[in-house]
Amino acid sequence: MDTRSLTGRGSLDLFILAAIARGDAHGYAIAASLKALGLGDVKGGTLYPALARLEAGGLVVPRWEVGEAGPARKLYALTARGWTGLKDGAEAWRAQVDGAGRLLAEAVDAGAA
Amino acid sequence: MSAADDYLSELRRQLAARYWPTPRVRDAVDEARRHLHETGEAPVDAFGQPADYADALDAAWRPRDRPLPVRVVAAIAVALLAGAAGTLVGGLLAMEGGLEGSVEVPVVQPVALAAACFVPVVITRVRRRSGGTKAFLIAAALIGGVAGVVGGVLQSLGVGLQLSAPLAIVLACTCVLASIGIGALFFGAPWRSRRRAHRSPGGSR
Repeated sequence: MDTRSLTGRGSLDLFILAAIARGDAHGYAIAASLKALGLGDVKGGTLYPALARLEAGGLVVPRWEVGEAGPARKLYALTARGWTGLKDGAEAWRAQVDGAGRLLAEAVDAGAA
Repeated sequence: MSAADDYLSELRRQLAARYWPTPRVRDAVDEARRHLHETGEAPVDAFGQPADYADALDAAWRPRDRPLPVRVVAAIAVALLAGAAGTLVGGLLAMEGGLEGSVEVPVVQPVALAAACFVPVVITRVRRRSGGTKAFLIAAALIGGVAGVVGGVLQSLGVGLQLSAPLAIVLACTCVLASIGIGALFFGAPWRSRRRAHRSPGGSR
């Protein structure tokens, strides 16, 4: 998984993995989770290709659940590889955020001085 | 039909045009249907135009579907077949007997090599696909491959392979078809983007 960037595909994949890690979830629930956490309004046209990418990479595994009403739902769960990817991605994310925080703090301090 | 039904129908067609296996097409369409059911969003607002959405989904799977070694092997097969067809045509042009005569086939070994390259690859693909156009392309490839193998075996057994002119023409055409078919299967059909542009109903939405 690409974790080199704070934005874009790498971080979206990481956030989706994290949302799924909270419990098996279907696409719409994942989008709702990300939106509730202030991570943006991820449209279906972006979300489902990302889920397909993760499925193709073996990081998530789907299963179909027949609901009481409406069409069946496709639920996603993390695989062992997905958990590893999430852990590695989270570490990379923290390192990037720490670095960005230091950079911004130094810049602000320099401006204040 | 509702706008959602129209959209999902077109999405199904777009994914099938990208040679997706039928179960995966069904999954993607069902998932989109469920999303629209839950959100109440307009299809194009949620997913974009069907062709664009199909492209995005296809890109998510494609690198896994067509790993580099498969592409390299397929490229070798295409090159060998194209070369074999060219040699056959050249042999026919140089032949003096017209359609009544026969030709020593100088292309048996390259065709056999091509068959050895692509038959297992194509068989792998057949298991994951269905549909008329795809079946035709695969059949063309398989026929070319089988012809090559048969020719190779005959030659290795010391059986001289004298082909009548009409049969040689058929074999040459099969090689060309097989080259086009294999090329389309593994490197993208050249007519695909044009067909997508014509068929997409998204533009009317």
